Order: sequence, then structure tokens, then C-alpha cells
Amino acid sequence: MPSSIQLDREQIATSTPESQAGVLVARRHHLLVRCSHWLNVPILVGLILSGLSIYWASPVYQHKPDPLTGNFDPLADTGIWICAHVPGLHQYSSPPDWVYNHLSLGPGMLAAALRLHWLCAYLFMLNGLVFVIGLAKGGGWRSLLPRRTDLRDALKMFSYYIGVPVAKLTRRTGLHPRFNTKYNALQRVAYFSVPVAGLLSIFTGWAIHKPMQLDWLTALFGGYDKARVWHFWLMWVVISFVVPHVILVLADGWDTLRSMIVGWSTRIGKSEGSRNGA
Amino acid sequence: MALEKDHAASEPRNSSSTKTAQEADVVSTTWAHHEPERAGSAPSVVPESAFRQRRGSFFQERPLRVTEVDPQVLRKLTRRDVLIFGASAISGLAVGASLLPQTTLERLGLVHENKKGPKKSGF
Repeated sequence: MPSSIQLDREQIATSTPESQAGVLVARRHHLLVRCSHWLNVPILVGLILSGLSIYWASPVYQHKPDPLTGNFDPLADTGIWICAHVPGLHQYSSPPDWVYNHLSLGPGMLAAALRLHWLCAYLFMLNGLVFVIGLAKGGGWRSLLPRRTDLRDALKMFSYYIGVPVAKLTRRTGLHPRFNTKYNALQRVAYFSVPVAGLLSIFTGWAIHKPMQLDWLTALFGGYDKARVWHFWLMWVVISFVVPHVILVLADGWDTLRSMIVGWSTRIGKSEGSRNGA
Repeated sequence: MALEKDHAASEPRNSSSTKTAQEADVVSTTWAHHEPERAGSAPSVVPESAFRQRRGSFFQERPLRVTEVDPQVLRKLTRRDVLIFGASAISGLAVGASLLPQTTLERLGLVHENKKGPKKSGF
């Protein structure tokens, strides 16, 4: 119904000049991409919480058992260190469990953690499929493809971000690198590599889950133990993307956040995240 | 969005503001960057095959679709989408919490310890 929405300028002649004009919006994200983006939040939280509970049962990294406590888990050491040094935590009942009590489902919950982890993993795979379909239908995949100049441009963006706090402190305006694509090079590198990391997480997860049936996959990652190391560090890759991503979205303003909810942006003529590159 | 005027798809680019916005939003890719240089500077360079050009345009980033929308309609749609998002987030939280084991919920303070009845063992 294109005619029904055309602005009838005569009908709203009493309005202010700004309200007479229609608002120009650019379509940014396909509905399926938006849905899968937000569904990733609870799914990843579930995966990380349950994953760390599984880790507790058999830590990927172990050192020689402590002669006093018998502890061999560096994450338990971290908990002990936190309880020893952070004020108010000296009386904590079980310092080795501090990290697991705060960043996982809890210690001693392997069965429940495995069930939840696999539920979230299946949802994650399904959600990845939705994301790919959304990218294909909306054509958004073209914006994510790496380009030859990306490495150089990404370094420029990175140095710009590093300089932002200094520019704020000295009240200078940092010169933002120019780009005329939907995403800047650093965003493109991040948005391209995170789905790759997700895919690798799925493969390493299967390699750990079915090391006998999928022995070729397990061998591809260097064996069962190495596949676990891959899986563990891929989690950190995702976390190291999510934290600055959230900070930059919040810093970039409402338009960027809204565009991932409603799909469009009023920032016409500027690339998404042009100020902060969320 | 039913109540809108889609410039990119249907409009014959008669509005100057829209045209400017579209032009500003036109994105360039590696192919777009390099082709004019090749064509202008070195006549001896063998022109790229039709296949490569087609491939370049297939992978080339497309301009974003710019649409003119009534501000009231835009507000209404935004409100609707944000409300749906909020409701989904709340229901997602509720479902997520219901999947957590009893001991985790107790530790988070979401439920009180159940000493009499059978314990919830997760989902």
C-alpha cells in the first residue's frame, strides 16, 4: 500500500516543518538476523554457565596438586586468590569454588550442566542456521566479507579507539577514519570472525562429544584433549568480542541499538557505528 | 512495514534528498575501488573478463535500501517492536531461569531452599 503512507503535506500543513517531511530510514538488519542476534544472548549465557560447570569436573588446564589442599585447578586457585585479597571475602565458605559459584551453574553439577549445555548447543546450531538464512535473504553477508584492505583499515580503526580516551581527556576530537561501507574494517573483521569462531565451537563440541564416532573430526583438532583446549579458548574469543561490542553499542547511542531491534536506522549517509563502530 | 514509501525499490529517484541519501549510502568494494584505476591508467592492461566482473558484482556490497516513512507510523512501529522485544526478553529470562537447577536458583536467591518437597533437578 505505498500510496496510503505517502505524506499528505496539505493535511498536515499546520504542523511544524520538521513533521511535514517523512523520515528517511535505511534498512539495516533482516528480521531473522535480528532474532538470531538476540537469541544468542541467553543461549551463550547458558553455554558459558554450563560449560564452566563441566570444566569444573575435569579442568582443561591442570597443575601439580597443591601439597596442602590437593588442588590442581588454576581456576580454583583464582578463587582462592580472590577470597584472600578482596575485602569482604575473607570469610567465604569455599574459596576454591568462588569462580564456579559466580560464573557457572556451580560446582558438583556435571549431569545438569551437560544436559543444559547440549540443549543450548542444539539451540545455538539452530540459531546459527537462522542467522545464515537471514544473511542470505537480506543480502547482509556481502557486508561481512573480508576485503584486501581490511587489515590496514582495521589497524587504523583500532588505533583510533585507543586514542579515544586520550582525546576525551584532552578534549580534542579524534579524527575518525573514513569509510563508505556498512561496517568499518574492524567491525567487518569482528563480525566475520565471530561466526567462524561459533562454527569452530560447534565442530570442537562435536569432536569432544563423539570422539569415537567422529574420530576424524577429533583428529582434525589434534585429538580429544586438544579439541577441549580449542573449545575452551573459542569461548574466550566470543567473550572477548562480546564485551567491547556491548560497550561500543552503548557508546554509539540509541540508533545503533534500536536498529538491531527494529531493523532500520535513521542514520542515513553514515555507516553504521560510524562514530564508535559498535 | 506496510505504510511506507520505498525509494530504493519503486521510486524513480525523483526526490533529490532521497537520491543524495542513496548515493551517500552506496558502498564500494574491492572491485569497485580497483576497476577505475585499471581502466584509466593503463590502456595496455587486459580488461577483466565478464566472468570476473559478474563475480565482483555478486560479492559487491549493495546499497542500503532507503525508505521514507511517516514519522507517526515510524513511532508506532518502533513502539510495537520495542514492546515485542521487551516481552520476549522477559519471557526468555523466565524460561531460562526455569531451566536452571534448584541449587543454582537458590544460590542466586531466586528461590528459597526447599527442605520438605522433592528437589528440582533441572529441566
